[in-house]
Amino acid sequence: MPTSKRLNALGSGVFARSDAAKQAYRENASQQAGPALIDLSIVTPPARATAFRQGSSPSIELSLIGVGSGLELMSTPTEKFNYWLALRKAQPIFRLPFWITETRPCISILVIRRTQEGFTWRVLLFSSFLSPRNTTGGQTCNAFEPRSGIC
Amino acid sequence: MGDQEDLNQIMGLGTRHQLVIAHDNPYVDLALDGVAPSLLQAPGWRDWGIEFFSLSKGWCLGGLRLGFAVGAAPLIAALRQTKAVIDFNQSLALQQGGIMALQEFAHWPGQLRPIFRERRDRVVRLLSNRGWTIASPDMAMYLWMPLPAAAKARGWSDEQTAAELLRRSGVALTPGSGFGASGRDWLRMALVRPVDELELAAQRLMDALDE
Repeated sequence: MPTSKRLNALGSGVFARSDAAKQAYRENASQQAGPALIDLSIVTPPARATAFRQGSSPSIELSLIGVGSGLELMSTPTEKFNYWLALRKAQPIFRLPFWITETRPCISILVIRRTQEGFTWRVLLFSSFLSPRNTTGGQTCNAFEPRSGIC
Repeated sequence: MGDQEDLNQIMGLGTRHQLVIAHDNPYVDLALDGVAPSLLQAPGWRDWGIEFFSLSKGWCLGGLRLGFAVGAAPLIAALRQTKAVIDFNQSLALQQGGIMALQEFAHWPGQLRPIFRERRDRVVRLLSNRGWTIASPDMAMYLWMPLPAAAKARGWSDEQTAAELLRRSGVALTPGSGFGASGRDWLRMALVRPVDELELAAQRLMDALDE
C-alpha cells in the first residue's frame, strides 16, 4: 500500500527505511530459514511478547476472567455503544469495550489475562456478536489502533 | 528526562517570565532507579505548568491511546477547549477503564519495574563484557547505545549501522537520527522481549560486529 509523502517523511524517512529493511529481512529469513527477526526497534510493553508466545485461545482467556455487561450511549448517532465489565473473582478489573456500528457489524473485546509478567492484553475483533471465530485471529491491543477500520 | 532540579529551574523560568511549561512525562511509572522527576514537584506548576501522562508505557496500553494531563486550571480549560474541536476524545469505556486502573490498581506499574531492571542490567552487562559500553538508564525501557567502535572504524552512520546489524544478525534497533539531530550516532534498543531473548539478541549483535 502506498504511503503518503508526509508519512514517509516522519523521522526524516529513517523510520520508513528501517521498516522496509525489517520487512525485507523477514521475507529473506523465511525463504532461507535464517534466524528470526528480533525487533527491538518497537515500543511494546513486555506483556505483548508473552501473548504471542502463549497463543492461547480466546475462549480460554475469556473463561478465566468472566464477563459482565453494561450499557452506555455515545454521542455518535451511528453507533450503539456497550461495554463489558471484566470480572475476576467477582471484582471488576477493567471494562471490556465493544461497539456495533449500524453500517458494518464489528465487535471488539479487550481480553485480560494474568501472566507471569503481569497482565496480557488482547483485542479480539468479531464480525458479529454470535460469530464463533474472531475475524483477525486475535491481536494484541498494541498491534493496531482500535476502530482503525480493520473490521 | 533530566532530573528534578532541572525541572525546578525550568519551571522557575516559566514563572518568572510568565511562560507555559508543558512537560511530557510518559515514563513516570517506570523509574528503574530512584524517583521519577515530575513537573508537579516543581514550585509554580499550579500557575504556569502542565504535565502530560500516558497509560501506554507503564500500563501496557499502547494501542488504546489513553493519557491525561494535570496542570494549571486555565491550561486544562484551554486543553479541553482545543480537544473539543480537533477530536472526539477516546471512547468513554476506555477512559473509564483507565480511570478504574488508576484508582484501584495504582500499584500495578510497579510490577514492570523489576522486569525492565533485570533486562537492562543483563543486556548492559553482556554488551559491556564484549566491549560495547553502554550507560545504564535510570528510567524507561530503552537502552541508548553509542555507535560501537567497529561501526565507527568503518565510517558507518547510525542508520547504516542499524541496517548492517539487521542484515548480519537479524536484530532490529532504531537509528537515533530518526529522532532528530541529537540522536545522530546513537542506536536505541527497546527492552520489549523476555530477558533470554534479549541476551540472544545482544550476542548476535556482538557476533555481527566481530565479523
